[in-house]
Amino acid sequence: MLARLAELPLLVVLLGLSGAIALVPALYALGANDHGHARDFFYSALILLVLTVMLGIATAAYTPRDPARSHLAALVLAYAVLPFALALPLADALPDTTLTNAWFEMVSALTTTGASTYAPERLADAVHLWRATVGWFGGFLILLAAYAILAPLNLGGTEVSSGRPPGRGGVGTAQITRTADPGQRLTRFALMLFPAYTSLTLLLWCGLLILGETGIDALIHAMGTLSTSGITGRSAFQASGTGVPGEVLVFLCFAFALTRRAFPGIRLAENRRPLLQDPELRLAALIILAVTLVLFLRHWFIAGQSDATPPGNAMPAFWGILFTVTSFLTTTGYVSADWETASLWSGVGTHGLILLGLAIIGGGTATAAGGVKLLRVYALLRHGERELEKIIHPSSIGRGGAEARRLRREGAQFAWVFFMLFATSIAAVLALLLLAGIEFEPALVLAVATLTTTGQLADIGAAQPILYEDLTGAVKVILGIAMVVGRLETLALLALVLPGRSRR
Amino acid sequence: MKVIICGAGQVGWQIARHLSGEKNDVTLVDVNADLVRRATDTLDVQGVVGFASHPDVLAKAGARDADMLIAATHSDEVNMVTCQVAHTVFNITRKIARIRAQNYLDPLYGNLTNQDGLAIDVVISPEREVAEAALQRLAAPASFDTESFMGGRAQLLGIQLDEDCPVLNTPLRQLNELFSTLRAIVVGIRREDRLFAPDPGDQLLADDQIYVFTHFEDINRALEIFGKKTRKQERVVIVGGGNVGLAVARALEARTDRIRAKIIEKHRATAEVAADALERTIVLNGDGMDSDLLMEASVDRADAILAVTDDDKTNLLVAVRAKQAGCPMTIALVNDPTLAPLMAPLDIDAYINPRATTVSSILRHIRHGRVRAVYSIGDAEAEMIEAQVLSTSPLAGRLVRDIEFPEGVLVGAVMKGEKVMKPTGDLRIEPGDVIALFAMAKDVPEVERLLQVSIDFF
Repeated sequence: MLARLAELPLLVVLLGLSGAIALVPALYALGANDHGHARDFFYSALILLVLTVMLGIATAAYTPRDPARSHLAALVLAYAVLPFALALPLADALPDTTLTNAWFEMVSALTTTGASTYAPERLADAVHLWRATVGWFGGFLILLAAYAILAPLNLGGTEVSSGRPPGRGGVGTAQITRTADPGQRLTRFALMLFPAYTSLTLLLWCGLLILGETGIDALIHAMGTLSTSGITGRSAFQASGTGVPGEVLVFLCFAFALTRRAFPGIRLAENRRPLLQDPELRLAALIILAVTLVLFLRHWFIAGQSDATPPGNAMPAFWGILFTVTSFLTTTGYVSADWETASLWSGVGTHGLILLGLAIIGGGTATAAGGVKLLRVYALLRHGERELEKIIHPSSIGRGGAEARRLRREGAQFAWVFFMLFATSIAAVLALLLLAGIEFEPALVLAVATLTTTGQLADIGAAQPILYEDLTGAVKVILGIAMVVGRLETLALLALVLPGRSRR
Repeated sequence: MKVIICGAGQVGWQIARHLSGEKNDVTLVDVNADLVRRATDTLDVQGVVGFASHPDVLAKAGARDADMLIAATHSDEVNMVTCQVAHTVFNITRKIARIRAQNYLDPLYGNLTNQDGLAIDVVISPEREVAEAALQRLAAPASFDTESFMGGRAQLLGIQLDEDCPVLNTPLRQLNELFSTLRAIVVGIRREDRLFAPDPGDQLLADDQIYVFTHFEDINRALEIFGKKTRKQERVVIVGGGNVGLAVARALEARTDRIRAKIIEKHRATAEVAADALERTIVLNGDGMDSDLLMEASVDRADAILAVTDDDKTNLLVAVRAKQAGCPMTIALVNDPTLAPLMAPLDIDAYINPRATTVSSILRHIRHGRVRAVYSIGDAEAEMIEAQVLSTSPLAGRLVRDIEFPEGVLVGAVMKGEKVMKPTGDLRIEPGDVIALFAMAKDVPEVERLLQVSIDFF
């Protein structure tokens, strides 16, 4: 049965899954005696499932010419089509909304950006749960895609470590008479990842419940953390009431967005090295510590302010900085309850812009996090370090083994290409937003927020919070597309659209 | 003794020459018919053409009644299998194999070569031995030849005497009285290409090359007395990053006095292997003969340069070039013994002869008696032999002055227990003592007789 389902086109399967997850808020609303919303979600689920069955029958005999590429195409199409399907229950539940708003909301959730165009009070709990569920589904989708679709094509960070040109599979040799079918690969990785992903979410949920959060908020926050969407319910994350212990739990779960090595159940070639020697984790620790210390210590360096605040706030301020910095590095976007303390304590205002930089660096490869990704930054750093060595000894040979050498050479080259593409996308989105009439600073923050899939940057990144509900429809469309570009990585999109495809 | 030597390369050839010169029944096995024919033409050996590990080839070489097999082909694996075949099929009692790859020699897998494993009695690793020799040269920069004995407690130093040496033209007897606390003895002198064991009345002259056997604590004092200054080596450039260069660099890294080494290696792949294996050493990729590259390795500021590529001429030229650039000490690896006389005119301070080190270690296992170390001096002109005195030996229980040593034999040192002593006339040699003897090649059989092979040894 499962094998048969896996043979269906990916897009049809994903459509079916979107229908299935609509049952989650439906069940919740039923349990909460909110029959109106339960009905909305249930009917939408039914419509989507029926549509899926019909499409499934119609496309059962479809065999793609190039399965690997067809899956990449399906993934891109999924981000184009699924938001409309997912917006169906939302539009049902909110009759007074426009299609653009519903679509934006769902793109934002599916790409794990987590930007919301509705004021939190306006939505019912069931609708918040739907947003969180879609975000959670989007997180799983990108996690699965990284392993089963992007990795075989040398995309999504794999190109850095393999050093082979992105967008193409491995070099075939005579011994390889048959390669794994991407459909089978998807099933295999889904079966491997789903239990871990789900149980980690449930564990975090239980943990937050024990620490005294209400059931629905705890679940939304657990989903938001694991998928790095950072979606919250009616009340903001800061106001969840679990205090530092709850934040510590969430903080620990950020590890899953910093390195794929942290994820249980996946066997990788580099697992032989101890986890603490993982370059991504080490780089992340370095960045987090450095930024935290700079933000924490600047209090003492800025003269005349230090006597204004009692030193008793130092520890909460430190924690607030540490948590928030990590949260934005993983592109999750939860803000610590102590963040406000921190900025009051230092007495020198907010430091939103530095969070922008952190979000651009982003989390680990093959995780749900967005941004440039730590591995690419690491490759560029190593390359730079090596070039410095070469200034002293031009003909010296770098150490570290063939793998490290590949990372520094081809890896850094691809990382650089990606980095430039990313910078170009920021510039392009920025230009479009400026054309659409947004001021420069908000436009910059919005561009980075959407391309790094950290929607919460809008609240905290600029001097004044930017409200998504104030934006015009055109701007929302631009931002929505930017989210998809940021989520799928420009390189993957180019690999699909550019050469080879038309030449073949 | 009937010996089969597999592989007629550098090492195999030299061992065959050495052993056949000592009236052993030597059979040389090699796949190259030309080499075998040349060996049988020039040496007193028999030759068999064929693949060394094939049982039928070994049988043809007379493996059924051979006493010893030395596997020194270029391939580690062939050597190992040859020993295994010799053990299983022909039951040869003593098997020596040359194994190059360090991976096989890891102490972690020590049981690989024992009787239950590949049945190799003695593993010789030329690269490792050459690396050790190179390190000894670096440690004693003023000497042109060194080898340690008695578990590192004594050292044989080869010293080139200059005009400004303070002890020239003094009889050795007088020197011995002058420096009575110095535990060192001059065991050999090479004057005008002739090596001899000195009499107490002999004098040292300028341009002599002398061999001094000294207690390791007295090395620096001995060098000072013979007019050599010791200086700490801090920057070392190694040309050639193969097995030898890598082993030397590894050993230098392992030392506590932080020596900064740089390796120059021509082949990129080899250089990468070296770079990966080393922590601090900087590996440069390029031709060691390139003066730009030598300057990049800052040869002019280096304390020593070690040329250990596989090509003799490159090594010599690199050493000369480095000397010209201002490197005070140059050491070159030279395979061809006929190049040795070129060292002085080229102003190369020391050379390492891998053949000598390898042959020395093989000889150690061939010599009769409880021989613990043998070092072949010069072009097999003399040997430094370290042996344990057996109770059946004519040496046991007698005073040094009473023993009738041949003319070309001198006692270098005697070790009683852990204590190394300078030999004096009234020192009594007791069973169990370890004695170090300098012996001219013609006197080696007599020394063997003195060390007495007791029947129970075999």
